[in-house]
Amino acid sequence: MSRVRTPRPATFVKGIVLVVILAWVLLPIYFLFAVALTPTGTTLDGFSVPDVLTFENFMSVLNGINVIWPALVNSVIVTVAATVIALLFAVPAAYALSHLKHKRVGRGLYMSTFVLRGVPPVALVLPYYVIFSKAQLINTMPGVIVALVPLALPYCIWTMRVFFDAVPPQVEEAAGVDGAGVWRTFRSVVLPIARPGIAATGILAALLVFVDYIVVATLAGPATMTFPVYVTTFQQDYLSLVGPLAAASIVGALPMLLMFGFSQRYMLRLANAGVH
Amino acid sequence: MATTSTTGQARRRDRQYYWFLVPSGIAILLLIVVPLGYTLYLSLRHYDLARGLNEFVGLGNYAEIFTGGDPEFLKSLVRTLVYVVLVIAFDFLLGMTQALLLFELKARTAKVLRMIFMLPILIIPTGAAVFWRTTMWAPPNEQFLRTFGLDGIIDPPLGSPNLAFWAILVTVVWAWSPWVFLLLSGGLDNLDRSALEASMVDGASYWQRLRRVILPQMKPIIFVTLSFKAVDSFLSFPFVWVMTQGGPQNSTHLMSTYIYEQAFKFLNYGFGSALAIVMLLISSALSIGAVLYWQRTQDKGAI
Repeated sequence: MSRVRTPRPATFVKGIVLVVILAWVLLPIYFLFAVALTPTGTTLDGFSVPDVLTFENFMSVLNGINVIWPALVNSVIVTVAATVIALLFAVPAAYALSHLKHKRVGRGLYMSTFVLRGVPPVALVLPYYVIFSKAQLINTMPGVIVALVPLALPYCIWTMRVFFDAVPPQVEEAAGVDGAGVWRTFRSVVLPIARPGIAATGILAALLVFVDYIVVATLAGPATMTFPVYVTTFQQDYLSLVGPLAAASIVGALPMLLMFGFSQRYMLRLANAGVH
Repeated sequence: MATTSTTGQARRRDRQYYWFLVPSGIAILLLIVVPLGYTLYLSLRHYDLARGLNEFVGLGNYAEIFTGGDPEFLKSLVRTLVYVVLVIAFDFLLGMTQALLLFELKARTAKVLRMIFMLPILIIPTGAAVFWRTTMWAPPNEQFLRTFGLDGIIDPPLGSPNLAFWAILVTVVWAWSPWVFLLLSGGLDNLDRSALEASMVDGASYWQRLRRVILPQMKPIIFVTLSFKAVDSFLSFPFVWVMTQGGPQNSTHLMSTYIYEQAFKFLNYGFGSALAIVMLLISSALSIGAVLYWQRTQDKGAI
């Protein structure tokens, strides 16, 4: 009995597992598309392909009563602004913590960013709401942006240190020998090397900000609401609005796909963040 | 660096690095610490807009929480912990299975499958929540029940105090577990292939390989991925809020949604703040625990 020719029950089991998982992932996606592509008010008939297909839901989202653009534009503005602000603060901090990682203080501060990441957003949104109400900052873009920065900042510092850790010490020593000070070494030698890592961290932080619901739902208003909040405005009368909702979710998947596409190749290094 | 410069110089350099921490320090102080201080201040008051109250009560709100004046909060605390454990367990089982399946396939097939497996996270969480609520769980479509032939046999799950929590759990695992899969799959691709091939030559069975070679090597990445996931689940808000707002009969409240309801629906900011501070303390204690465990294993050289 040679090993090669033995029947492999394992392959069979794996095949079944794969089919079950594919059904689990894809069936809801199929229903999402089915709902998005059928006329308002029709109910799906189990698994059968709908008789009438229509783009009216997509039209109402792209260019009709449920128009998506203001919310998407707000999302882009808010996400870019909050992420850039968080990065401006986080990049130097992560660099410093990378150099101070063998010191007690440096390690303690680094670990504290993980603890800060665990601060409940609800505990922040509450005082922000009370303060912003008094300062007339509710339903303003600056208010929303400022309140989103704390979601991203600790995460950025935590993740980015790994990328600075990966910069070879010899490079910095060489710059030091050439007479470059700490700041110049950082700006002209380290930053260019670490740029891909900064970009990866930025994209993941942008995702965190982009999907936020609690902060925007509390502090924004009709004019400043972002995509995740806009999607929930479909809830009131869900029988007639489930089609546009599904269409909006599909349209909104494109920016998500862009961000994930960019972050794919850094996924592993990001996953390793904090291990080393 | 100490090898090329004298310790004096090194120390001077180190001191300069502390300046790099100042901007972040100020930002964290202003955007996180000061607002939390304000939460603490509010928690010492009866600040209740619905009843028109705004007065100092010291630890009154806390006394009410801990003397059993609010059993729903304690229930939501327990429910949150159960939720964290279940989400992590299901996400890990599903994500790891998906990652292992891909690992043995040809590169091109694996690439296609990875795209398919990650599809659910492209739907924004609130969108997924509304979609599942309306199309998967609720009539007339109730596609989830229909898939198993259960429509008409059991009541719409989101309306039932016994089932709503589980319906939300299924939704969350579907919508957000690909995140865990992507990280684990990345970690798996980075494994030391030679040890793996050696074990295959030895004729080790699949389970043996998994237990002795793959999982031990992946321990650090699993730990990091799951601790991040644990934090996220602990703070989780949108799914429950969008799908049930904590109902029916408070049966799905997590801590976040319960506190949010107290503050923003019942306008009871003082009491909500006290609850938020309690949640903050629990969350910090758990994070610090994870960090200490981390450092201990790091010092031992295990990670």
